[in-house]
Amino acid sequence: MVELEALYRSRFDVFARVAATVTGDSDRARDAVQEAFATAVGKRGSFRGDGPLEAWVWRIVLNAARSDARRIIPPVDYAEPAATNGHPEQDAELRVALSRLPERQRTAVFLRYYADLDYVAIGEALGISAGTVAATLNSAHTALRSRLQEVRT
Amino acid sequence: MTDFDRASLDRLLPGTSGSADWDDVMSRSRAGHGHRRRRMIVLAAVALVAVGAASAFAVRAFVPDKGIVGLPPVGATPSTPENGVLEMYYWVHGVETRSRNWVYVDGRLIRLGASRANGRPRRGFIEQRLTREGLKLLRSEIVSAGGFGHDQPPSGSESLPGCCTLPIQVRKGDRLVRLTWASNLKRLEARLTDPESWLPASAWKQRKFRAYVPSRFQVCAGAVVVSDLDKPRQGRIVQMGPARFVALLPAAAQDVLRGRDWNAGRFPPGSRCFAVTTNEARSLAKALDGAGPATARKGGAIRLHYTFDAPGPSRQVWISFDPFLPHGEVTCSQCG
Repeated sequence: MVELEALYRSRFDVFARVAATVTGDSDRARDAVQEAFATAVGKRGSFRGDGPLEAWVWRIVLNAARSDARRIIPPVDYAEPAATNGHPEQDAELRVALSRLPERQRTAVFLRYYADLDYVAIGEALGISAGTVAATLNSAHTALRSRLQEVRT
Repeated sequence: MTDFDRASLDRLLPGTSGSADWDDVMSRSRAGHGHRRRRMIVLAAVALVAVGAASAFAVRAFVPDKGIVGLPPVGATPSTPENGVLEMYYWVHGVETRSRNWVYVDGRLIRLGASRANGRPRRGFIEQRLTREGLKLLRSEIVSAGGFGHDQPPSGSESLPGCCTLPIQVRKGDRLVRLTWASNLKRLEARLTDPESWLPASAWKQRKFRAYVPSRFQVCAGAVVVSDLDKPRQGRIVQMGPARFVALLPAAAQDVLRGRDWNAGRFPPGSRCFAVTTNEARSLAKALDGAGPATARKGGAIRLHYTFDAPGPSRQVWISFDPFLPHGEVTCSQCG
């Protein structure tokens, strides 16, 4: 329980911001994280300790966010872009390129490069093997590179 | 990969809404635990009650007291009778909200986006019931407010040309006629928006807001192309037959949507729709929940709506569920 609380307090922001890429909304992402940690507290007995605790929690958070995302969504109403802090063009290109990735690739990218998870932890969080994580990230890189080059040429 | 470091991602991600709150996590966890225990107790109690009730041929109605968002909860009692004749219809601007209102000969008043509760807009379709007297009072409020058809508006009145104002209609014989002028439109709209403030207690069979629980839903679907995912805007509808857009969906979604009797839909034009019972709608939604990743888009929607990324540049297929009203119309619940 102490570890769960420590993980929550130290990584809340990272969980909530990555969850927002799935729910498409910061409020709903926060709610998904709160629900996910509540679930983790209730089910902590089922954590076998085979992998890192954080990866197990990520899986619950992503499931909660996906479950929220599947329901009650208006047709095509996109959120305002986040502030760009002086990198407007590059950020806009990257945002578009990322938004066009399949959800698993996009989430893998955020888990690797924003949440700093290793391949094993990402695999645990996404319910896939480490080898599949490598292939997923490789596909994401290829797609992003080609889309960014396409935009800039 | 310089385009793609942590700092870039940090700039792209939306900010966190609210701060960490471990006490909230713990209270949700306790509530969940308590809820599971309570559910077991309630299930046992329900089983006992069901046996007793069945033996007495008793059926108790379960109607939620808030407008339904998405599909009605399992067990919610549909509004009766299933079909109704429309007596009045008005779409009005209140002080802070817009509302659409359908009043039936049987006294039902069904409202969407009607009013505010504790300072927040009410969501979903809600239902109240008028007595015969209430129906009469509401009708005379409209009829005495102005004129219909080709009546010549008196000087000082406001005319309501069909093109540009929200409609206020009442039944005359076998059809609905539109109010074409009003002596004081603001007053009329205020009265129609808030009938609880002036109708007497004897006008209400059920003044309290309850959910309108429909018996049937219309399922609509279509394909859109979004030209710029970076900016908020509407997607462009792709004119595509059901067989083609269904083929773009994940396999599990294709399975439940194939072989349906698709008709042309109104919201938005170009969509294709079919009708299902509420139970069938639940089964469909369950299948779609497990069909694959649906893409979330934010908004305060009332309808149940799924959006799936489809193969092809910026292409998406959406599927939505909207309730049928008692007179057989499906309204655009997104239209405000």
